[in-house]
Amino acid sequence: MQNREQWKTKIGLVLAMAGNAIGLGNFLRFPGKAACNGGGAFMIPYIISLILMAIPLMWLEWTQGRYGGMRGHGTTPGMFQSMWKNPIAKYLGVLGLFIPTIIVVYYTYIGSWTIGYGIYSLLDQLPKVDHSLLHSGMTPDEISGLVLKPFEEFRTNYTGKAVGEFLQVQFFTYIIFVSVLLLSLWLLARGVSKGIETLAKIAMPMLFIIAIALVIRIFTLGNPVSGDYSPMKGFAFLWEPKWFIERGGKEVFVLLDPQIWLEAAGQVFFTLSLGFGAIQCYASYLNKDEDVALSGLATTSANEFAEVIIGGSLAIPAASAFFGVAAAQVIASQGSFYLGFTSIPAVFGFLPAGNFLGFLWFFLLFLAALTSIVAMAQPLIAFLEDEIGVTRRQAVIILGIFWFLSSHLCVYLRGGWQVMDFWAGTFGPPLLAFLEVVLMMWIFGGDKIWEEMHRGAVIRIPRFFYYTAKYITPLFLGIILITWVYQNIALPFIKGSLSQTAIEGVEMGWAVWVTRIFLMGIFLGMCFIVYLVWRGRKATV
Amino acid sequence: MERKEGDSMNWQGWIFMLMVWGFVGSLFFYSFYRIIFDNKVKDKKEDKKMC
Repeated sequence: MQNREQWKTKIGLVLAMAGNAIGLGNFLRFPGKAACNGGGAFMIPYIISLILMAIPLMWLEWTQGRYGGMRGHGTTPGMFQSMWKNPIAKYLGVLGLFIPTIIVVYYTYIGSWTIGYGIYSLLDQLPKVDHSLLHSGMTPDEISGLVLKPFEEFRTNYTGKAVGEFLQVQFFTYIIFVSVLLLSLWLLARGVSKGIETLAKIAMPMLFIIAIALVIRIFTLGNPVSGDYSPMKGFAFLWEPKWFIERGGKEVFVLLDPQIWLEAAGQVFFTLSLGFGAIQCYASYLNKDEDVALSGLATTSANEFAEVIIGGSLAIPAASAFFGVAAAQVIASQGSFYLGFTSIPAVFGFLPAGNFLGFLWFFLLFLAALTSIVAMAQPLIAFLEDEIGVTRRQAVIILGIFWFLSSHLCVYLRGGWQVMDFWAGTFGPPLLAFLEVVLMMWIFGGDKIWEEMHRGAVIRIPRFFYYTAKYITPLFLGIILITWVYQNIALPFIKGSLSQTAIEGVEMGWAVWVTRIFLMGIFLGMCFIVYLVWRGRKATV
Repeated sequence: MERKEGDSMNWQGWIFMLMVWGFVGSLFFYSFYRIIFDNKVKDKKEDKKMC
């Protein structure tokens, strides 16, 4: 077994893990999901999902990562195999390699928009809208048509206009994307300690400082349009608990609404990067007696601090101050990108020094994206180093070539990144998490994993979480998975609506099939490589 | 602009927000305080270096 790298400092490791978890989801997806699901009504199942599902799963992933790393495996195929001797285990673990590798392909492209927008904002090149157009009582349609339309057109031009099955992308968009990719590769080539850890130590404090500065600016806006609109009203919308939510014209009790549970649990999952295979990879660089209990808790709390405290105080209150709570809700329901790239630049455009504030907003998103990009890229590098035996430099070159070439599917094909996000970013994580928790708590053994979790631990985890992880978390995940598959895959088949719109939510066309075939090819290819690696090992033994 | 009545959050909102912020915030500050300042945590790393 070759010598594996290790984290230099504990704070560096925790900040890198927090950087892994804190991403665009904290500042864009969370307010969007909360707004679509009744604000305060959403927060109740969100907090319950965090305690019953996310916190135990975070500890399990840290423990599995350290356990695998001690045996020379930085990725889930090897980790699964070392915890379960059945030959199928390593193929189930391929999911933990497939998911981050696909996510990094499209996430880099999306992440590059943030810095591109930041540059445009700093150079005062974003659209301008006259502040006097705004008045209280504007309908969401009026706001979209009069105020936000130029920003939406700008976004379409930046991210690519659809021409048939292709996207026509600006040269600037492409150059910025390649620059972000090269920057990420450079950081990865420097290694775990010199590259990823150093980035986290600089980027994470900077991210928190910028985010807090923006929150202060938003909450000192007062009533910029009329006395009816204020950031506090948006804040109240998010925090005033509501026990009933409207679904199909009926008032439904929040705790009995499956849709809100699905959305809340999905958000908790996505935001903490659980079921991605990336947390285990970072934890695999721990020493065998190093604490995972306090570190896992620190990762979860840092991410939640960035999400519920900071993320909840940015986009929705800012939009409420200028457009009112009702319109902010409609804006947020049109998607995370509409909120982050269309409405927030408009809001900052109305303010003095708006260019600089807009830049800070996009730079904050860029820092969040960059730390997640390197985390998602690390598992493939670890796999190439640990299982195939190439050097880090060679691994980065292989990853770089694959990453650069496959990203073109997202840049130039209509629906490319949405198809990847559907399978790798939405369906994959709960599936992998379900497999992980069953493997660790039921196959490997709950008592063994509990003991492993407490080796070197500086805090004692309450026994409550043992029972939660053993019974509630798998049940919770199983229900989420089945409901999700029924709603998103089975129901469209039953309704027969797939000829117009693909299950991935984009217009059907050959580009969708090209991306699906690409994903299938990558998954099968990874399974085949795992097969060859283990066959080679058997022959050597 | 004139500030209107009802601009602020109701008391249930404040209580709910303070509970969640308190829970997340205390976990955050407790865990980072231990990691940065707690000698027990630091010593474990230093012990390993000595070995």
